[in-house]
Amino acid sequence: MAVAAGGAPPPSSEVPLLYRRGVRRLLTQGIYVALTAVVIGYVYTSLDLREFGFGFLSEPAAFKVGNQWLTDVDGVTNSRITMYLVGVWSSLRAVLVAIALSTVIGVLIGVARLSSNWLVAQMAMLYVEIFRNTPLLVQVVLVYTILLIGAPLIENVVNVGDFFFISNRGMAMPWPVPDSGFWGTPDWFVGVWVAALLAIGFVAQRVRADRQGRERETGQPHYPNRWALGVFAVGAVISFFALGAPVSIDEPVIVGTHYIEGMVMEPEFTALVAGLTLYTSAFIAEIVRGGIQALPRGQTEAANAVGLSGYQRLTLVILPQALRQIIPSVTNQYLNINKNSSLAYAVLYDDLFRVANIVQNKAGHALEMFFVIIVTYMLISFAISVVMNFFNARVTAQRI
Amino acid sequence: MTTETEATPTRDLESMEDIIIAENVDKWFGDFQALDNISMRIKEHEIVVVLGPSGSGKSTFIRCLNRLEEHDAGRIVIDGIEMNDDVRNLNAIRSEVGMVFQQFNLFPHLSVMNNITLGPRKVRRMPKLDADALAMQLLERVGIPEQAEKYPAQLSGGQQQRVAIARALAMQPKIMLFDEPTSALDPEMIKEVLDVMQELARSGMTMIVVTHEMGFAREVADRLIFFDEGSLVEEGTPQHFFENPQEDRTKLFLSQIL
Repeated sequence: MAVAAGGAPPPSSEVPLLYRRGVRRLLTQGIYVALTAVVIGYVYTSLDLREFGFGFLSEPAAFKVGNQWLTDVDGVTNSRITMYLVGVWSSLRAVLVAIALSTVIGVLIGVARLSSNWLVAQMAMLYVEIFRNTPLLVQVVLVYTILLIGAPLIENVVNVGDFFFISNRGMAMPWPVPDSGFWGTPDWFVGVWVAALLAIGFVAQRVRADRQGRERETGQPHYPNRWALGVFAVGAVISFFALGAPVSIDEPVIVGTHYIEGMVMEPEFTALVAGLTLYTSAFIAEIVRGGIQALPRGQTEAANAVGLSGYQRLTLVILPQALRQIIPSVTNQYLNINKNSSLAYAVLYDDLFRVANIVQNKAGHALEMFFVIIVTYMLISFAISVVMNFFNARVTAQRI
Repeated sequence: MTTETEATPTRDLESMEDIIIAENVDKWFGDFQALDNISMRIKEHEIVVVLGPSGSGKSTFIRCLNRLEEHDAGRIVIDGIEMNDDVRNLNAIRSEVGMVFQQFNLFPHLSVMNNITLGPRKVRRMPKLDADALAMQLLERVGIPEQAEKYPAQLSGGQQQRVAIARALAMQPKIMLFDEPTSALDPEMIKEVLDVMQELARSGMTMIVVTHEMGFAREVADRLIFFDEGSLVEEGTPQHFFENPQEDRTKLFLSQIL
């Protein structure tokens, strides 16, 4: 069989078996499947997974969970899963507040680092270098220590006009609660007012859009924000009284060494949120700075040449472009906030991880509990990613 | 393309006011002196072409005229407004001076239309309808009205530069600065940009153009200025420059590029 010069390659039947690509792929995949089977078999037998099951979660908890907000469960009649969900809610609260605060502070510090004002830029750099280069655990515990030692004892509470209190048991402030109102309505009736507020908010939004549209078309001021705010305020007051004042304000009171009523921000919560915020905002500041610096210098110059002010340049030209770079990296930081929130353990904040540990101490089933913990963190992370991807898709389609 | 003016109108620049006055302007970048004692006066409606090798300070000089660079010494007065630390003066000057860059510097996240209307709407508070009408008029003038809804990345270099000219004109400036407007363009696109600039010159705009396009300089300029190593070496009419340059450095430069 003579092979013609530049002719077809030799048929694959002539290639030795071990050198064929298809055979090699099959071989590597076979090895991978076999190893996986061995590992699963080992885990199954050694960890005794024949007892694997989640029935223990519905048994009564018989333990208490602190740091509750908007929930009031004592753990006597409640199941373990209920207590766990209370822990999940505590985690979520801390994560959401930390995300909001670290975004605002991160963007401000990031922009400040690029300021032409020497002092502002240096202060921003100092902030970033301090909080980026020290462990998050240290920051959380440090804030907690400061709050416990630095804040006055509750006997010497700082009382601001009888509605705002600061002590080492936390900050207490007034908070709205359902009220039977003029007509003795049940607690759930407050939901009707909330629904009414949403509807009024929607109307106010329409008014604002309409006014903005007219302003764009005519160039005459139509005060869209003032109008929207006015519509909402008037609607809220009218609906409030029409529904018989279903909400009253609960002012905090100190009884013995405890706050009762009002909203209490405990030092554990404050320490965790403050730690997460300080640490993550330093990273977000660097991401924002990088996103802005990655833009060509010509963009700033063109904005200046057109006559835009510094603020207009930032909000109309620089940030809209920088956000495309910034959002994917900031999403990672949000996911880190979610995962790092488990450091609540260090300050005894009853987040999902701590409650899960208590359940495991009482009931065993360590493997199941870790399964539940991991799935919960993944679900929260997944939710954050979905929201951020949606947001990313929106900002990349920019209008003025 | 647009204007009916066939030839350059008989120009009587002598009777015009000085719209740009620079006196003893110095500019340093660290230890490097980019501008050394530059003085010049430019009349209203005058077309000045600035020549010079790279690094000669010609770009730095025109960037000082709308304060993209701050001059370190000397005095610059634009249309009677002193260029100093007074932010009101700076804003006033920037609204009188339009600028076109070598790299176009269009805003990539905005459509052609919004690139042009951004300044009028946000700085001049012009109603959207008026700004849109103005933008369409300017796009007609630079010959690409059909590209209004596209984004900069969808246009050729020549089209982008024409949008950039329209964007600068939208602020209705009295003076236009061009910083090597054709240097980043493919050869076949240079002409379309030069045509627009030529039309602009005929319409009576005061223009300062940094360029290596000798044909444009010869045909359009009232005056040529030659920079080298941060100094103003020689100035004169195109005729003077191309037929009878005096300085050795000017002769050397012209022999290299002609």
